[in-house]
Formats: sequence, structure tokens, C-alpha cells
Amino acid sequence: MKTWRELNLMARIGAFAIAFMVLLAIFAPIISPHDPNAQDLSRRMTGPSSQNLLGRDEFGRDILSRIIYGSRISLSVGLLVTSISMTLGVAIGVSVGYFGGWIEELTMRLVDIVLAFPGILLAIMLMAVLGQSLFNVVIALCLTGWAPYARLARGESLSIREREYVLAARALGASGYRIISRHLLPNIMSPIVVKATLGMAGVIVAEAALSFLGLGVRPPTPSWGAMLNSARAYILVTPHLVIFPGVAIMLVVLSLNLLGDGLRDVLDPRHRARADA
Amino acid sequence: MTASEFFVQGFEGGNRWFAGTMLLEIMGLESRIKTRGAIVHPARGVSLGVGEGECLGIAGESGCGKTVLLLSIMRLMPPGGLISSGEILFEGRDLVSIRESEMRTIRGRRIAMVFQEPMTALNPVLTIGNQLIESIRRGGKHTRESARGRAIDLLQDTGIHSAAQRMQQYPHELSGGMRQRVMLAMALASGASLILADEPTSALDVTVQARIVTLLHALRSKYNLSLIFVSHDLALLSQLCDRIAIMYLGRIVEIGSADEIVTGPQHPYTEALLECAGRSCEDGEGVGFKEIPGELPDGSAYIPGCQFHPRCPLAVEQCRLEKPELKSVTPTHFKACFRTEVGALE
Repeated sequence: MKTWRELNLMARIGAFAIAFMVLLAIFAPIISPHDPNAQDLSRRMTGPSSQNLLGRDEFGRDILSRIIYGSRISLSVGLLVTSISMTLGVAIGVSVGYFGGWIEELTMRLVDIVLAFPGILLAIMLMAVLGQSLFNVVIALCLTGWAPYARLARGESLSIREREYVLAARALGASGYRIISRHLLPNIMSPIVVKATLGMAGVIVAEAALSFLGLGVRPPTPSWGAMLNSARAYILVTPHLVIFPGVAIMLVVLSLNLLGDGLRDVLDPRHRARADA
Repeated sequence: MTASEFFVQGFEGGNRWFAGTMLLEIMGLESRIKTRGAIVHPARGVSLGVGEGECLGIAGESGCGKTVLLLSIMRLMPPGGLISSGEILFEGRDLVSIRESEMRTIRGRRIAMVFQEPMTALNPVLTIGNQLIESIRRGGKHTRESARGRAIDLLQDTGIHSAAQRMQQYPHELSGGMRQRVMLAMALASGASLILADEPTSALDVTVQARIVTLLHALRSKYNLSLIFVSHDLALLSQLCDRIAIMYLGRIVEIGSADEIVTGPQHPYTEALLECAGRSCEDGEGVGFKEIPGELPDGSAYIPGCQFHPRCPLAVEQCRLEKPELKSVTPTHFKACFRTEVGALE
């Protein structure tokens, strides 16, 4: 609640926009005006009208309905991948950061390798091997997604574990597990939350990219990236086929970034100090 | 008889005046810490004992190894540190050699530690009650509900009013003195019989210091605690402690009852510390504070003979060549110095 009151206006707008989109995704069957897969070939590629607010695509499907249903894919992939990578990465980063030793060295070099490799390339390769499905998209993106969280969590743990209250807790007999769960985790969550918010935007773009390349979910399941891909051929004739899904992607990513930046200003003491000055 | 045997025996003689049984005995403790480029020796043959219900003060300049001594009793040496020889006997066990899992059952439950900085020794994101209840439950005997009651009792024992409301507060909402009281409550939480206090009052202002010392007195008798109280403030130690040990560069240079140390110091270093504390002002002569000449050498330095000789006004050839051992002045008072005879410094 305190955090909310300190958030700036843009971040609040972002938060509202995301909440709105989540509601759209959840209540898609109620809200969307048409069946997203119902074709009407006689009205292919018609422009926006009172019947079809955003027009119809090359198979005569209602674009608004497809965007609303497509948000289910984007948001669920974003949420799943972000939460799985965050959990994995933070667990790994905090443990190696606290216990140290050669395992830490090994893990951090592995993180370096994963981060040095372009994530989207690895994801494309994995999708080619695993085959198209929502589940595989999540796996492919998680395999590279955990690394930044591990690096951040380890760095933060290194500074927290030297604090006197950690020594005090050890002097009172706390075990390593206790110290990690009670002292390290709560104290490193702020930067992690910021990173997760911004990271989710990246995941949504990555999913759209995979779908655009035909490696995401299988058609005709509506997905923003796939919509862009199939509309690509008609970009000069009927640009609205490309514009509306593109705008949808942009809005989600923009909202998440606004929220993430606002959260950073509130939660990260370094940025807060600068804002106060 | 080797030097270290003599050291231990001479020292044990020094404990005999204490009628009760010894709770903790450190014998010939030597430790080292590997840092970048140097090996520091924070303890260079320390022998000490604390009796049941006794309060032992340890005084010395910053950097003489007081804090690391307490941390090595807890076996929480900083990274790169290890105890290279010696024993720490506590309740029949040698804390130097027992397993880490066994040590963990001693930390908090048998020996607890209070730190210098009450500002940083509490977790900023958890409420006081939360942290206190956790320490209590680590003892294993309490449910969440009974631990809550015990936490309130402990806070009241440490002189915190409206304890139930304080439980809901976060560390930053409390004053320094209040936080130090909470730290004390946490140290008492799981029934420790020995409290190691590392300059617990140094970060507090003087009026609060006095209150904390009074509180420690009260808690000592109520819980029958033994206490090792580290400070550089000899005046404070003499109020609180039964005995005082003076530490210089990882060695005990003088140990005796609080009265003997303060009124009849036998080591030039003790004398210098007392003068720093402004004792000479009471005589009417000398204005303000005196400094000890020279600087405390690096913890990695090797100094032959008496380690204090480069700074000592009384040093002679013998001090540069031979290492003085602790010798008795009175049955309860020991010093490691060739130069001073009884009363020589008076």
C-alpha cells in the first residue's frame, strides 16, 4: 500500500493498463464480440466498422476478438516464464551467493555463458528441436531466462550476507536455510521485483518473436506474433491487419516498462536518493 | 615447563579466587586470519576464564583482537580465519573441535552475543516481534502462541514499555537504546547462560549507556548470567565487571579484579589506557585527555620481546629481547611486564 502511494503517475497508468489487460484475458469469452476463429470469407480484410471495431483479417476473422484471445497467450507465457525463471534464478543465486565456494564460481561462469549467448537464438533452436507448443515455448524461454535473476540475486546476497544482522542471526544459532529464507530473501526482493516486471515485457516480446517466426503456438490459436506474421503479406494493402496486433504488443510492453521504472524509483534506494536530491 | 604451560598454570591460579565453577575456559588460544597479502594474528596465546555468574570485562584499543576473540568463541571467525591452536572449554566440550552442527545448538541456546551497532544488528524488513519470536522458537520448546507471550515478557524484562505494541514495529521505528534492549531480549530468548557483549553501549549516547549498564546488572542477577563485556571504556567496565582483562595485540597483558585494575594498574599499557580515559583530570593536574604514544601496530606485525615495548615509556633492553609472561602480583592479579613492581606506577 505504501509502495502504491509512492508510485508516480505513469507507473500507475501502467499498472492500470496491465490490470485491464489481465481482466480482458480472463474474461475473453464474455468480452470478445465474435468467435476468434469464425471465418467469414466473404468479408475478408474489411476495415474497421461498427460491426468489427478493428476490421477482419485475411480469413474474415474478427481482429479485435483475436487480439483479446491473443492476450491470453502473451500474458500467460509472460507470467509463467517470468515466475519460473525468477524462482529458479533467485533460488540458485541466493544459495550460491550465501554459501560461496567453488560451486558459486562454477554457477556464475555458467550464468556468464548463458548470458553471452543470444537468448532468442537458443529459443529458436530449442523450438525447432522440441516442436511447436505452448509448453515448449515456456521451457525454451525459461532455459535462458533464469540466468539474469541468478546473477542479480547472487550479487545482492553477497552484500546482505555481510550485514551485521546476518552475523547476529548466526550468533543466535540460525541455520543457513533460515538465514536465506528469513534474512536474505526478504532483503533482496525489491530489485528482483523490479527486474521481473521489466523482464516480463522482454518475455512477451520474445514469445511474439517466436510466434512471428512460426515457432510459437500452433495456428489457428490466436497469438499476436502469429497475427503479425500472417498479415505481413498484406501490409501495403490492408495495414490495419499489422497495426492492431503490433499496437497490442507495444501497449503491454510499454505498460510493464512504465510500472517497472516506477517500482524501481520507489523500491531501489539508490534511485530514491537521486529522486530526493 | 614450557612457556605456554606456565602461562596456563599461572593463569589458572588467577582464577582460583573465584569461588564458583568456571563456565568457560579459554586456554592458549591462537588464531589467524588470511587477508590479501598478510596473515593477521588476532589471538596470540590468549588464556581466560569466566565463572558462573561472573562478569569479565575485556579492554583494549580498537584492533587489539577483542571482537575477534568473542567471534572465535562463537566459532564465527571472519572468512579466511581459523583457530590454529588452543582450547575453548564450555560445559565440558571443546568448542574448537566440535562439529558445526553441534556448535549451532550452542549458539543462541547456551552462548549468545550482543553486537556493537544496534542500528544494523536487526533485520530491517522484519518486525521486532517477528525476529524475537523466531529466536525464542529456535530453542524448540515453544509454540507460536507461547513464544509470543515469552517475547512480551522478555521485552518487559529489558525495560521496554508497551511491549505488545513494540512487537508490531520495525527496527527503524525504534531508538538506538531501544534497539539495543531488543538485542538483549533476543540474546536472552533461547536461554543462554553466557552472553558475549561486543561494545554494546559504544554506539549509544552516555545517558542511554548508563541505563543499559544498569539493565545488564539487573538481568545478570535475574537470569544468573555470565557475561563477557568487551569495551574500551575502563570506567564503564569497572562499574559492571567483577574482573577486567587488558588485551594488547592479541595477548592478555594484565588481568585482575576490577578494583585492582582501576586503582592499582601494574602494566604500563593499562596505566596508559586509564590516563586516556581522563583519570588524571581528577588529580587536578593535566588538562583533558592523554594519548598513548605511537600507534597500535598492524595485526600481522611480529614484534619480538614484549609487544608493547615500542610504545612503552619504561622499556629497556630486556623488553626488546624477552617475552614477559603473566605473573601474579597478588593471588588475583596478574601482569605481563618485567619493569613494574607492585605499586611502581602509583
